[in-house]
Amino acid sequence: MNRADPPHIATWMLEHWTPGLRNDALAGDLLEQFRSGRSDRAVAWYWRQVFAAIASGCIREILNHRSAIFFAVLWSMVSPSWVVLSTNVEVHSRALGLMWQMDWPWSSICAIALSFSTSLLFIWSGMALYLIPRMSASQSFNMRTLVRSLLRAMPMFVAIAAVPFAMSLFFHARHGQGIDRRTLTPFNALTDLRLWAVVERLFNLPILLYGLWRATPLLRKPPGGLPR
Amino acid sequence: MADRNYLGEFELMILLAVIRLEEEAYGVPICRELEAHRGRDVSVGSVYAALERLEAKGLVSSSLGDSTPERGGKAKRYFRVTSTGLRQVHETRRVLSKLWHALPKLKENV
Repeated sequence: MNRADPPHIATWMLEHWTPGLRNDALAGDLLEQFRSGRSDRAVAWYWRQVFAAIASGCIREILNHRSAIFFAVLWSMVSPSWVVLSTNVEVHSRALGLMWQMDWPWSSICAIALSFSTSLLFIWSGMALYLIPRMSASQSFNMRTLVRSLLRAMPMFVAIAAVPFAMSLFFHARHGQGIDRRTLTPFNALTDLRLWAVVERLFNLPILLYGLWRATPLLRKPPGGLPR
Repeated sequence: MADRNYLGEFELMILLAVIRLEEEAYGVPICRELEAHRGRDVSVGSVYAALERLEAKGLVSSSLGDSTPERGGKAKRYFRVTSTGLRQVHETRRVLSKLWHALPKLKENV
């Protein structure tokens, strides 16, 4: 059987779900083989090739980003300590104390802005800690690339930040209280496995992964002959 | 520490296919060459994954070629072995040959 066109869904999956730069050449090769009438089971062959291409592309991407994945897991494990540290700074800071004396809604707006800023600072510190040594090692460090890399984490941060924020509003409304982190030390928080600490880690992990994943291409020069 | 630059089995096969195909070394003929000699289906995706690894190691280089209607207007990517790649193939062959010759004679039907 020599069909003219392979299944459209499979082609769409191949073009959109295969990571890497060679999707076009790969898709063209599969189409050429499909149209040259390989066998009477061309459709099954095509589907098999598409799944194999997606799987090998994903494995390759994961292996290419293994150091970023390892770092993101490690840095997100530290995030409860950061929360405790920033809470302690907040409690002991005279300037921040003034925030609580403000009238509503300014007190709430300042508290939300402070919470978002400290979270973002944590993400950016981690990313900078990962990216700067790599940029320096490859002698490609420049501030513009670093800032671009940091900003690439923003869409995921905004998307994910909305979830715990909505959750915390829900818990505040339901129980009228949050978690008292003032009694914790950063070191205790490092080994804390209670729900708040786990949620904190799960909140930071995808943002860090996304940010570092998107920043990695900026660290390397494109291979010769590959237009981007 | 010893230099661990020897080629893997699949990588070596692909490099040999690219060398043999010369100017015509793009995805489809490379896969057909491998299928003809291995006697089984090859995943085009895994061939590209190996070619990317080889390119990252500087053993092959690639360039975009022409596109034809049977490819849906998608360009071919031609691969060529670099001088480093050729040296690597010879080195791997040398080591493998020495290892083979060092073996006691094997029965033909094994």
